[in-house]
Amino acid sequence: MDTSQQGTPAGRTGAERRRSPAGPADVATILILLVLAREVLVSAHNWREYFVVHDYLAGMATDEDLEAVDSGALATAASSFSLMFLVGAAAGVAFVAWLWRARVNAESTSGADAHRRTRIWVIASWFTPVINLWYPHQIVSDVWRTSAPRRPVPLALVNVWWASFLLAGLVRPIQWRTASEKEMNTEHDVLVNANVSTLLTGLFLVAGVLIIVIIRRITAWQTRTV
Amino acid sequence: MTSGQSVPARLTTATAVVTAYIALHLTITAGMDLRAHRDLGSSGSVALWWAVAAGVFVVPALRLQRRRPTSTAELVELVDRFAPRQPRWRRPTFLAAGGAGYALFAAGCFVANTAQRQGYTMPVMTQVLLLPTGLAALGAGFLILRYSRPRSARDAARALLADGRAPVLYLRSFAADHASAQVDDMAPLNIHSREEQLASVLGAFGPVIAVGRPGEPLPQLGAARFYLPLDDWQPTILRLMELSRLIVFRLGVGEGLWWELDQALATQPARKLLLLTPDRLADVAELLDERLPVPPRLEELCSDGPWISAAITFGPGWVPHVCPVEPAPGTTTPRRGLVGRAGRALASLSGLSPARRAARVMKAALAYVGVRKRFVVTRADGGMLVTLGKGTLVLAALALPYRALQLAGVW
Repeated sequence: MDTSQQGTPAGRTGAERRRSPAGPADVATILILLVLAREVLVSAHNWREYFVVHDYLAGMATDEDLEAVDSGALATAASSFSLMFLVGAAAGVAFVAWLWRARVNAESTSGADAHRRTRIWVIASWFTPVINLWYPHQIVSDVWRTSAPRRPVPLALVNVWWASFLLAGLVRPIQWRTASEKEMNTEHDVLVNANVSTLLTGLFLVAGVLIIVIIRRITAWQTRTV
Repeated sequence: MTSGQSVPARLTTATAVVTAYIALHLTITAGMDLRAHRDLGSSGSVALWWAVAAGVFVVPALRLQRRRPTSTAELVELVDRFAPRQPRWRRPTFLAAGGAGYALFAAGCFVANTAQRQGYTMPVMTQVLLLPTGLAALGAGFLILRYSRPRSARDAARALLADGRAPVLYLRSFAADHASAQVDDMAPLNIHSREEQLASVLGAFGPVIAVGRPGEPLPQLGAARFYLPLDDWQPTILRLMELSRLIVFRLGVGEGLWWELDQALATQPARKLLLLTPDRLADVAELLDERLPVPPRLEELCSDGPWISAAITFGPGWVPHVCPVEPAPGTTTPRRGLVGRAGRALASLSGLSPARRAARVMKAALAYVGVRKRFVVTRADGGMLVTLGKGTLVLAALALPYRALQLAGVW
């Protein structure tokens, strides 16, 4: 559980060709930015919804204004689950593809022994319950550590990324609940939903920006040595 | 480690335990009905019938327990002289602590998993508290197990006595213990070391015993340990070789180990020997070639591998049969094209632990000399299931006193 492993034979890793991670890094960066943009849209939509409801109850907005909140382009973009799924899944696949290549490159310079987790967990750790709370962090921080030109390299960036990503994972189901129609009966409920979604967007923004910085930095380190 | 009991004996014991467990639960339910002045109805008669069934199975199970083979008496006596003496309370205490550890580990796994998968259907506070609670239980269970398992490990004499079969003698250089103590992560949340996985595989053939490293404060987990004096260990090893079913050498550096191999080659039948070569073949290839009538020429056949690089058994005339974990470059033709690339990608992704890969080649090598057992390879990675199974059993067992306390009105 807490120990290192040496599952990948040296012979096999040594034979693998180093490839620049720049291409997958660019794709992952763009898709992560799209995910973040969608999160900002959701927050903006929730606040707009709150202000219209507030005005409506104060007699300053009409029924048409209320209907317009749920039918505009912003609402469509923010509430489309298929869009959320498509962009999120694409960003996830692109990130893991980049991480895989970065890990292979890192192993070729530092050896498999420098990594706490075997290579299979680069993919599987994101989907396996319970261990997905710390394995991905170990994998990314090991790639970060072994790719850095000067060692030891501080891990603060990776730690803050992971903390904000985990917190976002904890807040997200709460936000789903506050956003459900069953829970939104009063103006206060709409305000709570807007606040929670802002918190979630903030966490995603921190995690997203930091992972982009991590991707770019590791890619730059590895590109110099490929 | 597998018990030496026969399959019918094990089935009878398991059936007796399960039937007795159900009978006890039904008896408590009937008692609760009585206490609540409810009509006993069918619950009393059902409990009675299950109690009768339990009695029917418990008697033969106890008899079968007593009729275990006693052919290992000499072995037990031989090894028991070198077993570390410990207070009587020590092992039961740490076994109980280990039980608590297994229960916490399994409960923590279940709770954290539930929190992650179904947390959003629960009230917000439950959702927020459940995950840290599960993780705390999991961590506590892990720490308790790390502390208690080496302290409750069976010594070699107890292992031989409990099993009853002729043992598998595991000989290695003490310097190799560090690599064998590593825990691989092919199964999530694995707590079993490579040597434990290896002992589990070899346990199919008999209880696995090994000489403990002199001066070690706690036995390394895996093969059951006994401790020989530094100045008089050779006669005991020679006698144990005679009495063992299988002698497994993990080759490495160390004069003592190579003396043992020389003796085994000179005095034991070829089919009793299984050699495991270390990850770095260069350390042993030449030494091995010098000793065998037909040199195995490892450097031509195998590449360096993870932990163990090859398994070797011997046919008549000491002709070696080498099963490499990783064949040497050029000894196999790599597939080209899409199929080849897909195969290499899959191999790169395959979650085979070093112990499982070693188990595969050991099985193949032993099959060459006619030593076969089923599910040998599967045993290598069953540790996680065993851990969760033990935890679940402890939790199920704890349900009985809990319900008994409910019946007594204490809870």
